[in-house]
Amino acid sequence: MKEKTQQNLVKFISFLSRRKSLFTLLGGYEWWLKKKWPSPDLAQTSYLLTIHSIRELYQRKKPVVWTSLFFPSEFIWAGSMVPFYPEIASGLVAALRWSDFPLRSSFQKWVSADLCSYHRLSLGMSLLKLFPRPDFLIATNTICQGTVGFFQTLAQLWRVPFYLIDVPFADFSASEKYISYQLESLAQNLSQEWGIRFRWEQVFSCSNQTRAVIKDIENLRKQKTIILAPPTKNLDYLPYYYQFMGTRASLSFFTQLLAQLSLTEPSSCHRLLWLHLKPFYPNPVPEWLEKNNLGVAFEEFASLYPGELSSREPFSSLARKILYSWQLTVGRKRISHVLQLVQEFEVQGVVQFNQWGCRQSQGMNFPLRQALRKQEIPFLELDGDQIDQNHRSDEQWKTRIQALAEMLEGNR
Amino acid sequence: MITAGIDVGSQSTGVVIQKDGQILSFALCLTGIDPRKRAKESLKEALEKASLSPEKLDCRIATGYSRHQVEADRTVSEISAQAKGAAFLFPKARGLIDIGGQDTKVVLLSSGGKVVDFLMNDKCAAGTGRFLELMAQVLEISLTDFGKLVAQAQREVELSSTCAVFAQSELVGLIAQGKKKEDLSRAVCQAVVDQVANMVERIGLVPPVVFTGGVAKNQGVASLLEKRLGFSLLIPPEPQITAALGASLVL
Ligand SMILES: Nc1ncnc2c1ncn2[C@@H]1O[C@H](COP(=O)(O)OP(=O)(O)O)[C@@H](O)[C@H]1O
Ligand code: SF4
Repeated sequence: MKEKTQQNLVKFISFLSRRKSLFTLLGGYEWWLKKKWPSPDLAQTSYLLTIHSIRELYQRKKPVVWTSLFFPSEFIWAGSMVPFYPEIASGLVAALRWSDFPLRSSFQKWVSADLCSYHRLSLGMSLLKLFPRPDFLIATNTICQGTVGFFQTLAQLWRVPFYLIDVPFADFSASEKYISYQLESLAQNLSQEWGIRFRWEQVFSCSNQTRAVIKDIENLRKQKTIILAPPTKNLDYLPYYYQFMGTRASLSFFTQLLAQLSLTEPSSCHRLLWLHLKPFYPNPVPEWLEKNNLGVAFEEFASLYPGELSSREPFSSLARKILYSWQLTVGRKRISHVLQLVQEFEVQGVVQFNQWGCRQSQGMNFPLRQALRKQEIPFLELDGDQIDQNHRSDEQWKTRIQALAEMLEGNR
Repeated sequence: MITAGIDVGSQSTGVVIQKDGQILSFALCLTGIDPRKRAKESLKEALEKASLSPEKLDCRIATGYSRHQVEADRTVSEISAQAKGAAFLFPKARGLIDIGGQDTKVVLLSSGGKVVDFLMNDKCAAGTGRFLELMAQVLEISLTDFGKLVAQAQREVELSSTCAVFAQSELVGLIAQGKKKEDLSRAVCQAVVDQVANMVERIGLVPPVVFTGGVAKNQGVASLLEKRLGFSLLIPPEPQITAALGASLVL
């Protein structure tokens, strides 16, 4: 599309996105879709949920809260607010092949091209006023410290308050209390300033039920012949693991996924564990994995907090859930977690997609590689960018994937 | 069984015809802009050298950057092909360094010659044969001159940038300052050696290590690399056909 046309289109969409009443019309469309699909399949469920979310986020009848991936959505749903995860939404924008324009916008406003593209893209979408306007922001400093600076910039861009939950990186016995105290203060603050009332029971019960279904999915995936296809597809379902946890949407989605997975044909491919995320723009990596007889048995980001959320002690249980993100950030914990997954899911190789500029994924590559080598598990790194296509290198990925498959074939 | 390994690299195309572990013939040429055509021509040449008709071939295995573009019965990655070729020529090898036109690979081998781990440079030209070509152009020397010039170098000169574009302009500046070609040639080779040595140390290669790819013909790089690593490298008589040889042996 010509630059000028694109700019005008963006201005028009940005103008429309601020007309709240317009989104009320989506209600009718949603109602019609539900009539048309009385028992929707997975794709239809996703589509319905997207329409519903767009309506909720842009209609702004309830407070819209932007948050970071490891802040539990249950807190937000329990306060009858609507969560928006800019990092997840960035993946969606990339999947729609539309990341170039917002990335360019952020670059034009002096955002460094070395910064993580999830953040760059979200800043671009904010500068263009295309993402839904937040009422306030809540973030944790896990799993990456970059999130703090990112949310601080967002707070300035949108001129809204920002509440940071500080997660200590050391395993102190007081850590849980420290986070729980911060959550409680935040809830009090939101009640006083925004009149928000928290009702934990229903949201927690839904989250616990969903977690039980996800556990069943995990157990199924531990079976040697069960592979969720196409490879890396499960990472497209991250919104259900994070954004919609605590809602019926996640519960019904995973219930359907479980049913679908139980019916899959047995597979004899090599089983991989996938670390970090994947390129979200259309790309041939899943196809090459499949062609080389490689399947993804499990994804690191699908590891869920194994405990229950309790409405008797809402803040402590949420604090424990937040602390579970240590599995991704604290080197010792991450490595033993990865080794445990390798064993439980009987994987033969580990793949990590090194996101450009991301310290979380790459910071501990050396000890991780050493630990895996000790167990004779090949560790493949794919370098590139999950959002910004300018850093893709298809030929290199292709060669590395084929070489991994050949290594595994040789080890059979 | 008679097989052909066809390695279609970014710079050179090599073909090896092999029968039951015996090399019958090989051909080597520049890839140019039509890899498909070059692969065909090289295969024809190698078959003629071996006095074989195409029908006698049981299998054609392609490897290299353009392996999916040429006519072949199957493909194998350059990593496995290089490893196989290196282990065939040097059965005791525990490591491999391959520096080609646009990428550098470092492979850790098991005692049986299997790939245990590998590393590839990222997508930029730093530390590859292409970098050396660009610098040779600026220095107005041929690639084969590097060995002689490096041996004659006297003064320490260091290139501060590994980026091919910046290094080119830096080199122009150093020439203008009157620095000698010999010293600059060593600086150029040293820049590549430092990059590759970092990769070698990262993956933890221990000797015996095989050095392949077109850059293994660059004696300047080879000698500086041996010095930096502290052990001598095993260089095949024709280091540009190891991948083709390995491909011919994968069945
Ligand atoms: N005779 C030579 N002397 C020194 N360097 C050479 C010679 N021939 C080729 N090279 C180097 O080898 C590189 C090409 O290596 P090659 O293994 O053929 O690449 P590819 O596998 O990508 O086709 C060139 O960029 C050049 O630097
Ligand atoms: S990809 Fe890495 S740097 Fe980017 S947001 Fe995620 S953890 Fe942070």
